Amino acid sequence: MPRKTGEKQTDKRELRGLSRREFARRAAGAAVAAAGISAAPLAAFGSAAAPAQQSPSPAEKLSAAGLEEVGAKTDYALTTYGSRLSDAQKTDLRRLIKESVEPLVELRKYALANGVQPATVLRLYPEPQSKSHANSRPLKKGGQ
Amino acid sequence: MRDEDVLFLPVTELAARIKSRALSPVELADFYVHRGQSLGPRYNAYATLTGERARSDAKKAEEEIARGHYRGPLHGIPYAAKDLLAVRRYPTTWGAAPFENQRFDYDAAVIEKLDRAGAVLIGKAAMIELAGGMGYRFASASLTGPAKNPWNVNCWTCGSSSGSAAIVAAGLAPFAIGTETWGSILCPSSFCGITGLRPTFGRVSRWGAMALAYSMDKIGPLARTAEDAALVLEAIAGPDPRDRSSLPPGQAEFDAAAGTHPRPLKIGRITNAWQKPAAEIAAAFDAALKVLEANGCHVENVQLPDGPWEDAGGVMIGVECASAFKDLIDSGDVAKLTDPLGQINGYAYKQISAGDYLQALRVREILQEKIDTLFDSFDVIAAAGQPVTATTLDTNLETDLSFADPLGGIGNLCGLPAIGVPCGFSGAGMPIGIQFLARVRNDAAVVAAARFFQEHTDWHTRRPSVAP
Repeated sequence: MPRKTGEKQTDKRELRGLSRREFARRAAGAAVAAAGISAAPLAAFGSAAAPAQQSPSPAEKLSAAGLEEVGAKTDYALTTYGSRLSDAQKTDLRRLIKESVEPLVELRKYALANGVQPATVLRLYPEPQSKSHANSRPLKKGGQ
Repeated sequence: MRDEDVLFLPVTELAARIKSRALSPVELADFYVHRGQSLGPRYNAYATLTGERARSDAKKAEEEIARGHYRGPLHGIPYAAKDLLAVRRYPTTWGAAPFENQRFDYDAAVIEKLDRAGAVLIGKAAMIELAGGMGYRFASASLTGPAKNPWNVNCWTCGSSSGSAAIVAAGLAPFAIGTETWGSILCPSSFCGITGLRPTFGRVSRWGAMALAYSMDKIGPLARTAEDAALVLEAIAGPDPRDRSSLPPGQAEFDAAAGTHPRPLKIGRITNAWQKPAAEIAAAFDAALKVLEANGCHVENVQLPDGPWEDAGGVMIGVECASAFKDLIDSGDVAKLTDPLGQINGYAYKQISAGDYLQALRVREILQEKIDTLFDSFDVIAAAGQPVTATTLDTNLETDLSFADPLGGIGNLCGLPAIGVPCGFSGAGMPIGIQFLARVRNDAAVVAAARFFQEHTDWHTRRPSVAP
């Protein structure tokens, strides 16, 4: 039976053993507990993101590819919304995007077997007691 | 008993007096509304007072009870509801300037249910704008200004159910409805020294409530005691086909009487919930567990499973929030939010990919299994409510209130029930809390643990000095 989880990849990390840097990043959660929302996308760590092509410094959490991702996402966000932002907001947005990419490193590393389904919510429609059951409906052309 | 003493009575005692007709629901509602008018602004506690509706509902309750038609323990009991719950004829601002004039022509499911129980809505509680969904840097991130802590008005209540907590702590209502996506009931209850109950995901219908993160939003009560919180949960729980995530009939309902435990509770003391809780908080938490142990509970250390749970939760909230507020972000009206972080964070949320979102959803599936196994050994797991006491109003939450919160991540990602109750005070006189979590659907266990604790302590009876 295939392994279902990524235990080997992640379970050995001890929270108590986090580096100061890692702690600071997680502390991103600053607002988490306080704000009632998640830490990850709001992480408050470091200064503005480095330019996309810059090589990561020794203390940099993101790889060169990660920094490129930050650059590309920032470019797209600024292309789309930049006209409505001040220079300070643009800098802050770059930082926020970087901090939203950082937690993805661990998340993406987590090994998942093919059969692990997403724990999302889909309630079948219509309900069994409903008059119109889905299998009696004609399919719309051009749908997916 | 002084008038103010009555205002700090728990629901159970107010109900006994109302049932016996020793206390008039109309007088009680008037008293609280008047107090809301005079003291509410001191704490920035209310977004709107619903005095006219309160008087009408209280009069109806009084007449029904006089006729011998007593609906139950919430009949004639005043309460406040977070301003993200739709209430007909009154503004529902979601705490945010872009929605300042928003009105709905219906009541949210929770309001409907409390109406049926005979409770009397006296006001809409202030809140952090959009329940903090866009992120916020300061306590002032609200249409109504920073909510001030009744224990010290220079301190914050925590958010996002900020007004709900201030209202209960200051004796402006016996209970209030709050919501939690991540920490928004438990943190305010800890900062304000009251009881906050976060039900199992899906137990309480969110129909008519602002959505922040569809797969993580919960609605629950803030109250004086666990017993009161259980009574409120009983009234608001239940299946609702209008909420796609509602638990089905037979699972969604909650029986307040089930919040007692027939055998000694097995409590897991979480050793890695907080990195470095303040010394006085660690001491208060230890003392609380000793009380439980001394009274027959079994307490053992336990560690939370490690993994990218907080990261997954963050991705999920970011993506779902960006979807829920797509129009606000795309139109640029997000710039009208008060907080500088909230004004731009939606643009960052929108850059998270579908692949990463699905990865987070699949990680959640794994976490659910892991955390469920943990509850094979324990009825509840416990940790300090927060690693700090209430912060000052001017604290930069992004830089100065920084801590990892794996328990919050796990609990909210998996929809676990939790309750926060006071368990002490700091040297500066600010409340300290303890939280209990249980397996999904086992809300009765967290209520039982909290009730048991409150039967053996009196922290929940302490109240701030709130001189008019």
